Formats: sequence, C-alpha cells, structure tokens
Amino acid sequence: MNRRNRKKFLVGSVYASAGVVTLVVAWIVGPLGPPRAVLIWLLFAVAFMVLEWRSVEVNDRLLQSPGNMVALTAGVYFALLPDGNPMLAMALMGAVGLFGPGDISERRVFQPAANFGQLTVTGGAVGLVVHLLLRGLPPSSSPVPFGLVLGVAIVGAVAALAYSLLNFAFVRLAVRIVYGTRSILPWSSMGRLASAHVLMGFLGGLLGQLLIVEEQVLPLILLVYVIGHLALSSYSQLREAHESSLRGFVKTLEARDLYTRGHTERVAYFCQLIGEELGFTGTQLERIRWAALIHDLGKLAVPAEVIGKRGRLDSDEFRRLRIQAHRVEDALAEVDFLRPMVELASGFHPHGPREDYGQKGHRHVRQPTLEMKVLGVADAFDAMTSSRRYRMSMGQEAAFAEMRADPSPLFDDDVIAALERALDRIGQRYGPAQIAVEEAEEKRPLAEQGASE
Amino acid sequence: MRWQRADAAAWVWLLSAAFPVSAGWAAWALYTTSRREADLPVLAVAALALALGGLVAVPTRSGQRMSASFGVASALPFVFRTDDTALDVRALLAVYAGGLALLWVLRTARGDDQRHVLVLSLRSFVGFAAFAWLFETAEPYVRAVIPSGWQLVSILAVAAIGWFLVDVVLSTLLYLGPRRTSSRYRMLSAFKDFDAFAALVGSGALFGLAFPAIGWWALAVAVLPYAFAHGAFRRFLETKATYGQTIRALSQIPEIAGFSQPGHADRTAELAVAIAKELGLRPAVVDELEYAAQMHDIGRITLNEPSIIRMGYTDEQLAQWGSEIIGETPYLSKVATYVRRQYDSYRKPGEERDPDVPLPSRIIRVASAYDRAIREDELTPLEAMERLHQGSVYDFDPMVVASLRRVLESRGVFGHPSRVP
Repeated sequence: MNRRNRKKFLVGSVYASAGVVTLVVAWIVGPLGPPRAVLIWLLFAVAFMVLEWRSVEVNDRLLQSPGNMVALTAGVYFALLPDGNPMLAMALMGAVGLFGPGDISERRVFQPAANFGQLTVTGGAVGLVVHLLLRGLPPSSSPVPFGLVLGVAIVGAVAALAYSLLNFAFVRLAVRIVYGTRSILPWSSMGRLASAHVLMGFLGGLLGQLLIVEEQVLPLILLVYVIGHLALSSYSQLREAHESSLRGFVKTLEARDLYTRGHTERVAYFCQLIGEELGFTGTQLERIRWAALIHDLGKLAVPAEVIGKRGRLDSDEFRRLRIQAHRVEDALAEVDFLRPMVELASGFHPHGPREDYGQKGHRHVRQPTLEMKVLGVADAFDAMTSSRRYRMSMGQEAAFAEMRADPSPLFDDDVIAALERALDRIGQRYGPAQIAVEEAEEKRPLAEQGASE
Repeated sequence: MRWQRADAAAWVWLLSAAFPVSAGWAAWALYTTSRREADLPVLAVAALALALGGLVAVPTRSGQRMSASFGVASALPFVFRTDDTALDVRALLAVYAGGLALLWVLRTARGDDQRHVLVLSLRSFVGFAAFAWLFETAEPYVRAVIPSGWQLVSILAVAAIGWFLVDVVLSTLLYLGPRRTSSRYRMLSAFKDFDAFAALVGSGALFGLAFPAIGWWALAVAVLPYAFAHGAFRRFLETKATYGQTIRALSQIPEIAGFSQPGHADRTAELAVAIAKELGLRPAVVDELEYAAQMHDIGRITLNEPSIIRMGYTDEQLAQWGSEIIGETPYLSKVATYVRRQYDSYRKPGEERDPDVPLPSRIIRVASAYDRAIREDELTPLEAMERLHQGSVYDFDPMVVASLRRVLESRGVFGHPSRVP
C-alpha cells in the first residue's frame, strides 16, 4: 500500500466511522416519526438520490443539484412534525447519497466511504440545528400565519448555509490530507454556490412547512423538479454533442495532414494548462477551449495547390490563403455562440493594420487580450515543438527562448512563464529533448506568420 | 390569387374585431348564469392574471410557444372551490373568457399577428373548458377510488391529461406552421411538449393547493421550481439553435473553398425539411434530416488534397468521406448514415425497391438534384421536375418526387396553384 492509499484508507475509515456514530446517536434519540412520515421520507430519499445521481454539470465546474433543497425540506418537515426526528431524517438522507454512478462504474471505495461519512455527519449536525431552532413551535394548522412561515423559511436558509459550509469543510479536509495542497478545482467555486444554496434552503423551509399542512403538494413539487432536471440533463447532453461534433470534425480533417495531426487537441490542452495556471474561471476556460478548437478551421477552405506546397509561399498565395481563412472565420462568426471565440482566435493580427480582406463578421482589436495571448502562445509553442513539412521540430527550451525574443505583443512573458511552470509541475516535455538552446537559435527564425500558423 | 388572399385577411380582421366583444359577452353571460359564490373583484383579478400570463411566452421542445396562462388557469379550480360545494364550471369559464378578451387587447396593442392571437385563444378556451368539465365530472369517481388526502391531486391528473389531449388535437387542426405539413408531423410535435405543459400545470396547481395553507408564500413555492424548469428548457432550446448554426457554418466551408455552389446546402436543407414534413416523418427524424441535408456535401472538403484530385473520385466516394467526417461524433451517427447513402438508387434494374435506403437519404437526393438542376443547369422549375420524373425509374423515389411537386405547387412555383394547365 503506498502512502496515498494509506491516507485514503485512514480518511475513508475515520469519515465512515463518524458517519456510523452519527446514525447510531440519531437512532438513540428517537424513531424517525409516525408510519405515514416514514413513507414521505422514502419519497424524499428517492428524489434526493435521483437528483444526486443525475446531477448535471453546468459550465463544467458547477455541479448543479437541488438535492440540497430536498434534504432541507425533509429536515424542516421532520422538525415540525410532532414526534419527528430531523437529525435521523437528514443523516439517513446523507447515507443514501453515498454512491454516485461514477463510483460504481470505476469501482471506487474511498470516495463512497468518505462521502457517506461527511454527508451523514453534516446531515445529522444540521438536523440537530434545525431541531433546536424550531423546538417549541405550536403545532401547525392551516392557514399558517405569515410571520411563522417567514421564520421557518429563514431557519431553512440558515441551515442550508450551515449544510454547504460543513460539507465544503469536510471535503476540503479530505482532499488536503489525501492529495496534499493541490488545487481543489471542482470545489473552488463553492463560495459562489453558497448564495444558491441559501435560496434553496429558504425554499426548503417553505416547502417543509407547507407539507405539514398540505401533503398533496409533494407529488406536484417533485414533478416540476424532475421535469426541470430532465430538461437540464438533455441540455447538457446536447451541449456535449455540440462540442464533440466540432472536435470530431476538426480531428478527421487534421488526420489527413500528417504534420498537423493532433495540433488542435494539443493547443486546446496547452490553453487549458495556462488558463488553470493563471486562475481562469470555468467560463473563461471553456471559451478558450472552443477558440482553440476553431482557430485552424480557416485552412480547410484553402485551395489545394497552396496547402500542399513545399517551401515558402509567395505573397500572392499568402494573400489568397488569408482571404479564404477569413471567409471561414466570418461564416463561423455567424454563429452567435461562437462569435466571441472567433474574435478570440482571430481578432488580433500581429502585422499591423489589415488591408481589406472583406472580413466583416467579427471585430478586430489593436492590443491582444489576455485570452488571445494564451491562445497565441499555446499555438506557437505547439507549432515549434512539432515537425512541419518544411522544418524539423525544436526543443521546449528553444521554443520558449524564441517566443521571449519575439517582439509580438502576443508573446507575453507572464503567459509563457505560466506555460513553463505548468509543464514543469506535471513533468511533461515537448519537442526533441536533446536540442540545446544555442543550437536552435541558429536555425531559421520561425515564419513571419507569427501566431497564426 | 390576389383576391383570395385579401379575402382571407379580411376574414381574420372581421373575426378579430368580433372576438373581444363576443368573449366579453360570453364572460358576462356565463357569470350571470353561474351560482355566483365568488366575488366579482376576485374574478376580475383572476382574469387579469390570466391575461398577463398569456403575454409570457414559455419555451417548449417543439419550439411552438406556450404561454404562462396555462399555469394560471390550472390554479383556478383550486382557488375557486370550497370543501362543501362542487366546482362552479360556469364561473370558471366566465373568468377565462374575460381573461381572453383582455389578452386580445394586450396582444393587439403589442402588435402580435392576429391569426396567432385568434388561433391560440380558441385553442386555449376549448382546452380549458375540457379541463374544467373533467375536473367537475371526475370528482365523484375519483373520490370513490382514491383514499382521502390525495384526491385533489388525482382529479387534477385526470383533468390535466384530458386537457393536454384536447390541446394536441386542436393544435393539429389549427396548425400555425407552414402549409402542406402533414397532420402526423403536427400531432407528434405537439406531443413533444408534454413535459413543458406538465411543468406549467403542476406549478399552477401547486399554487392553488398551497394558497389556502400559507397565503401569498404560495407564489414563491410555485414560481421558484418552475423558474428552474423554465431556465432548463430555455438553455436546451438555445443550445439546439447554436448547434444548428454551427452545422450550418461548417457546411459552408466547401462552398467558400469553391467546391460547391454557394447556398446549395442551405437550399437543399430547406427543401428537404419541407418534403419531410409533407410526408409526415417523425419530428426527431426531421431534425436529423435537416443536419444531414445541410452537410450532405461536406465530403467535398477533401477536394483540396492533390492526391484525390489526381486520382479522381466518384459521388459515392465523396458521400463516404463526408459520412466519415460526420461519423466522428457518436451523437450524429444516424446523420452520417443518411449522408453516406444519399446516392444509393431506391431501386435497381429488375429488382423491387431497396428497403435499406433510408427515406431521409432519398429525400436529400431529390432535394439536392432539384436545386442543382435549377442553379447549375439553369432549368425552369417545370423542366427540373421533368428531369426528376424521368429519373424516378431508378434514381429518385417517385413518392418523394411527388411530395416535392406538392410542396412546390403550394408555394406557387409553377404559377397559379389550382390552374396548372
């Protein structure tokens, strides 16, 4: 067993035992509630599981799931129910959410154990808080006074905040212990999610209160949520299909040219590395990934005799190449969603004011933005460290040195340094390893095309 | 031709002008014959809510808009019922008719198309009448079967399903899309909207049930879950539109490079979709066919490779290469098949028709050939049709060619639609 596995085992078993202890304590405090309430709890548990299992990735990092609200609704309902035990209700709810579909397909043990522990302890603790806050309220009857409803809803919101903070603290602790100080991206946006959780908690409080006096609303609420959730998941499926269509398209086309095969994928990968190093948000990362995917599509419309030519292009051929590439960019800029990406990929031209190539579809800028620089560096880096029809590849260090020496505003030193750091950290090298810096500098300087290969 | 169109427009205007008056009169007549347990101000507020709801468009999967008034309407039976008396259907219908009259004023002020306003009003009034009637009629039967505590929700389920079915039938009959769309296509695309309908009705009923218990907090309880579903539908539709635009942009690349006629992909796709709707294909297949027709010439991108130009190529090979490019995306595997088989003959000499050639491929073949005949060979529409008829021995499916002729006729391409010599 290596060190990380030992740590995993340790964290998993400590978390899981804490979860078991919580369940036992909650059980000793009292039973769940009257038999009818157990049925309602089952409905909640099914909804919670469905929402957690089919949680939808929105904007990559934000796992949107109203599961939180279901847990809070159950907590408030059982706290207001005479003889209800909110601690047990919420802890058990956490216990059923222990497996995700990914855990089963990859046969993971650590994650479910840790999740079981942290969700159960969090649920139990928050259940206790809800119980203490709502203790001693008069038994509800319809219609409930306005102020009372508001009070209970606020308790729900407070409890939701506690729930997400505790959850976050447990997850961060586990990740710190097991994986060290590595950045914990999937949960880094937790702070921004807190406001959504508070709103969900407020709603959970309202619903819990409502369920006490009118049980019939339960199927209606679940119906609306399930429909919304299904629509959200078909949206995310379609979004994936959209990206994979473009990716597949680029891949097949590149495959026909031995020298640029995989270029786009690598540029996208370098962009991702630099973006993460520079602390880009999920939206920025997604945008730059798309821009990388489309940055070379222009060459698809280039006439055969130009694209296959060995050696340098004369100025007329170069001009034709530019015009065709621009017309493709204009076609892509027709897509509302892609317009910002097209501008990112081709809005900056390093060679001074443009003559009229007829491009109208997208904006052009004088100074490149940070995202443009990232794409430019990633593109040039891959172009230099891989072979082309007309030259050999150069080494990683030589490529960095050449980019630093280039006066183009695209080759920003900070961006280059970020790529260097990222590659160092993950221990990857590109280009033939042996070529020294001096040797590379003797070579012909890279073509004037600059970033746009 | 011209006088007929003017006549139709005049009819629409006449009906429109008569509509708010008759709806208002119906509202009053229904109200005065109802049991009048509800106060007039409450009814007026409900009618206003209905009218305002009618202004809020709701995204649905089929792309046909519903309005938030469905949600408001489904709350009404709960708000206007008391435990001891049965539902007063007349009062409900009075509210609804009053709401429609008000909505007519608001939508006309906004400048909406009169035909849409009339059709949607008729559709929603008849549908709601069915809902209210079912709500009242189903009550004794449901009470006999379902245990107490869950009866109202069960009645709602029965009435709402009835309402939806009536709405499907009405939207099939009163279709607002292009002419020459088969009723099968209309009906199937109306069925696709069940989830959006259920979300609306569920939220409305949620408000109706929650209002007596927690007062105006019920609004938050009903609106927030619905807002979640609404946002999800909206994102889905946006992504779908973006996907279509991307495919369109990609399909223009061979045209930009000069390997295909500019605009050919767009025109082929438009014609192919019209034929598919005329023939009554399923909405999902029509979507795939649209993508396939848009990209049917994508294989021509490979024509910038010197080796391919040297060795020569056939149409079938181009289709094959195009299909390989599309087939990289698992989601588009059917589209890839349609593109690959676009040049297959529907029938070989001495054989029966080949059942393996997908109908969408046959449609693409006909639509593309028609557009080429018009644009490349500069034939007139009648000459182009003649060429297709001659080719329908083996190449072009006669069923598709006939459908194309009907579509073109309805657009008046051959002259006066009813007086072709």
